[in-house]
Parts: sequence; structure tokens; C-alpha cells
Amino acid sequence: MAAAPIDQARPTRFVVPDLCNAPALSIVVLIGELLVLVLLFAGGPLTWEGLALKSLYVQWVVLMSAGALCGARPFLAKMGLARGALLAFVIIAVLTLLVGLGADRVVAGTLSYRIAPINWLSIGKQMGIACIIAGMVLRYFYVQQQLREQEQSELQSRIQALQSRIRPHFLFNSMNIIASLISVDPETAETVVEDLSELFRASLNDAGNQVLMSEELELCERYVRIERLRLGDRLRMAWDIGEYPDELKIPLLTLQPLLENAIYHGIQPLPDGGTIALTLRYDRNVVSVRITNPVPPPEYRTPTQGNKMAVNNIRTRLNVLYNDAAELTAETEGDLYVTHLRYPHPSLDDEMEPTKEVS
Amino acid sequence: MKVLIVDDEQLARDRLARMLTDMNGYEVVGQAANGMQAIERCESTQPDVVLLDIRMPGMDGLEAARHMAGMEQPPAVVFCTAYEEHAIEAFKVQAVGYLLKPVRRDDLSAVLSSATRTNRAQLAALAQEEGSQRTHISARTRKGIELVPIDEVRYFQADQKYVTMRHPGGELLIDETLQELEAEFGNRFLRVHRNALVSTKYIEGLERNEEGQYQIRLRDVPVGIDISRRHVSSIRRYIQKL
Repeated sequence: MAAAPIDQARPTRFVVPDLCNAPALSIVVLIGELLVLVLLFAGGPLTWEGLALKSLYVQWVVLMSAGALCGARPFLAKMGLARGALLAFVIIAVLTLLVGLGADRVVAGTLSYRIAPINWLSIGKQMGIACIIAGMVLRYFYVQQQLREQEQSELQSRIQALQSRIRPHFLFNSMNIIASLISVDPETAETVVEDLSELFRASLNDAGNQVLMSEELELCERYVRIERLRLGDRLRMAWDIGEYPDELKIPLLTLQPLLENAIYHGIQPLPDGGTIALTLRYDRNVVSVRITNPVPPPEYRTPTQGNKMAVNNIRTRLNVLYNDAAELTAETEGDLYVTHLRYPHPSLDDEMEPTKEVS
Repeated sequence: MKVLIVDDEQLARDRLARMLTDMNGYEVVGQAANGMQAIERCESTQPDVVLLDIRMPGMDGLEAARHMAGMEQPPAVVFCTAYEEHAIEAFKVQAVGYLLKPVRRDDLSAVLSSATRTNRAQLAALAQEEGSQRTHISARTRKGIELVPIDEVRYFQADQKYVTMRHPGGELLIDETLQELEAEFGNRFLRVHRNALVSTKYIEGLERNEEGQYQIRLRDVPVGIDISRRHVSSIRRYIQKL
């Protein structure tokens, strides 16, 4: 549900920059002036007069181009990337030609072609320079815009990840539990606040972070403790944690959302509740976690949109971290809903080897 | 004022009960943990107001409220919810009393002092907004509200005044129209006649009696249900697909 507005908010990416504002224009003018200096250093007499003349010429082209692109931008934007860019080049080239011709006549001191023929070679060179610089400037603005968009989307995805990781239901239910407990059982209320804080701290962490398996399991326990206060005996947990190395890591908040799903869809709708089983095995560098919950009869089911989102979110994160080596499946097996997570943990051998050498 | 508290969470019920005890003029006459229990307690305790959690396992609060509205002395209903984006908007539109959890003392006393009965139309509109179907149909009998699971209903048939609901235990008169029922359960019931909706789950076949009238046979129902002529071909196609 959060994806749609983000897509809409994304600005249309376009190669021609918005030159109608002062900061962008000042950058263009600065680039023009730098070009003048380059031309001046490259050849010809190094005089104030040369600087002024070249500046006059270059800034004429630069400001006219900026003005033309500013005006033509809405029109260019509709044409698509390649054609818009091409037309922008044509505009700049034509403007350079016109300014070049004008300058040529001013230098010649006459409008008559017969007395002083037009120096086409020089104008051609100038158009070439204009196009090369224009290409670089357009590229500069394009990359800058891309960078800004990327930052924006990273921010958005973090917010989105945060939202999908904390179900608003869970937050408000926990608050309700705390409110209920404060006067009758302040100590338990305190525990809930502590557990909730840990869960929030974890969910505010970077989504790509890896933590020790023991830490993730502790978060799961904290989470289950809160849910048990709410659901009472309806929530039964069967933890089956096999042996695993102490250094075993897991992306932060991978198991907790899966447990949350299992409780939300598998336990909460059932008047008598049910059992959630979590089985963890570590064998030959592969971590395998299986979470099962009962499948409620159709009339008891809660809407499932959130379910897919959490699983997809975790799958995306696993893909980033393990490429295609990690696997997350969720399917119905008889009267159980089974979520199965497998991912390799090859780094363990590398970490273990040095210890062997020491001993 | 007699109050019934309905919530599937013990802690939430206890807190509401404590708050009500601290306030003057309210008496907690009972508690219930799901919709079915709520209706039962509602009949046995006859409360003036029911504080009703929406999200409960089994029958949810919205449905329980609809059945309560059919009681002889329907209570006023105040919905409680922790977080329900859509529902809250609907409550405002339908002017139905609601409380947000954790419930604040001031809100509780304010909503109780102004709590009024919600009528069936308001509740039906809420359910439609939520896109939820009832799991049971209720009928008011001499014994009180009788609930029949929608899964067990064979057919609904209307005569001039009433709608009859056929179920394994017999027949019950209900206070609803076929149009309302068809709108809510269109995916489970088939209109076979101007005056009849049959459960698709129990359809056995099509037959013609001596008078040439087409009838539909339903499992565990001794009599055939008349089919109007304009429905015959569509029903035949439907049966062939089964």
C-alpha cells in the first residue's frame, strides 16, 4: 500500500536540466567562464582584451542557450530522452552558429560577404566546442539529478521498510497492554516497555545489518512475550533451536516479522488459538529456519495483504545480501502454513580457520 | 447503567472494568471474549451499553453488533479498536460510537453518556464498507436470538410479509429482505425465483413436477424450490458447471 504514492512522487527523469533558476544558471555561467580561461590558456595572446572578447562571445552563447532551453524544456520533456537531448544539441548548435555569424561580421566590420568572406572553419570549430561543452554540462546535470533521486529513494525505502516492519496494530496493542498493566502489575508493564524499546531500536536500525543469531532469537522472544500477554493461552510456542555456532549471523529482523505473520494470521483469528513452531537447524554451512502456524478456516481469516508484504520485504533484503543463495518459501502444507528460510553462512569457515592456527 | 465488556484480550477487559468501577453510575454486568459469547451474555444480562472490540477471533464485533441489533431490547453499542484505518472513517460517517485503545477515561465517560442505539441500517453500511460477511444469520425467537451458521442455511424464501430461512433444525422467520441477503451473500447463494435464494453448496439438481413447474432440489430438503422461468436456463448452466 505504501508503494503506490512513492512511484507517483518520483520526478520524471529528463536529460535537459531546469535552467530557469538562479543556482543552475550561475553554474552554467561559471562553466562558460572556465571555458573562456581554457581557450585563453590554450593559445593566443594572454590579454585582458582577449578575456573580455572571448567572455562576451561565450556568455552570449551560454545565456542564449540557457534561455532557449529554459523556455523549450516543457516541450523537450515530452519528447523522450534521446530525441529531447538531440533537439537540445541542435538548439545550442544553431545559437552558436548565429552568434558566430554575428561575431564574424562584427570582426569583419562589414555585412558584405564579398569584401570579407565568412570564416566558416572558425564558426564550425566554435559549434564543435559548444556541442562538446553542452554534452558535458547536460551529463553533469543528469548525473546530479540521478544522485538526488537515488538518495530520495533510499530514504523512502528506509521509511517503507520501517513501516512494514512495525505493524501499527502491534504498536497500539502493546500500548494498550502497558496501559492495562501499569496499575495492577507495574513490573510486567516495565518489562513490556523494555521489550518494546528493544524491538523499536532494532527496527530503526539499518535494514542491511547482520546480527548474531542469538540476538535475533532474543528479539523474537521479547516479541512473543508481549504477544503472550495479549493472547494469553491462545498463543503456544514450540521453540526447537538446534545447535549452532556462536558466530552465526542473520540479517536483523528476519525471523521476528515471520513470527509476527504467523501469530497475526494463524493464531489471532482462532478462538482457541494454536501452536507456532520455530525450528532452527545449522548443517554444513546452511542455516535453515522453519516456522509453522495453523491455517484458520476461511471464515476466520484476516485480510492477507500485509503477509505478502513482509515476506517480500525479507526476500528482497536476503537477495541483496546473499544474491540468489538465500531462499524464503511460504506455503500451505495440509493444515499448516509453513514458512521456510534457508541461507548459506560460508563466512564461518574463514573465521574459524585463524583460531585453528592459533591453537 | 449496565455495561457489557467484550474483548478477546483479558488485560483490555480488566482495564475497562476497572475504569468503569471508578466512574459513578456504571455497573459491569458481564464480560465476553468473542462475538458468540457476547450475544449470549447480552441476552442473559440485558445491558444498556456494550463495549465491543471489533477484531476478535471467530465472530467479530461488527457481526455481533448486527445480531444484537435484532434483539427485543437492543443495547447501545460502542466499538473499540486499537487501529483500524478504514473503520474509523466509517464510524464517523455512520455516527456510531467508538473508542480508540488504549481507551482514555475522558473519552470513555463521554461516549457512554452519549451512547445511543445503532440501527441495523447503520451496521449494515459499516459491514459493507468493510466488505465483511456475517458468519451467522440471527432470528428472534421466543427463546431469544437464535444463530444459524450461514454455511448451514439451505435457502431463504419470501412470502408477503416475512423471509423464511431453512436450516437443518427447521425453519426460522427472519427480519431481513432477500435483496439485502443477496447483496451480502451473492457469492454463496443463487437467486432462483423472485422469492427465493438457495445455497449453491447444497444444490443437487433440476427437475420438473407434474404441473410442468421447474424446481431445484437441495440436499436434505424434502421439497423442491420453484424456479421462475426466466432463471431456468442460467441455473441449468450453473449446475452443469458444478
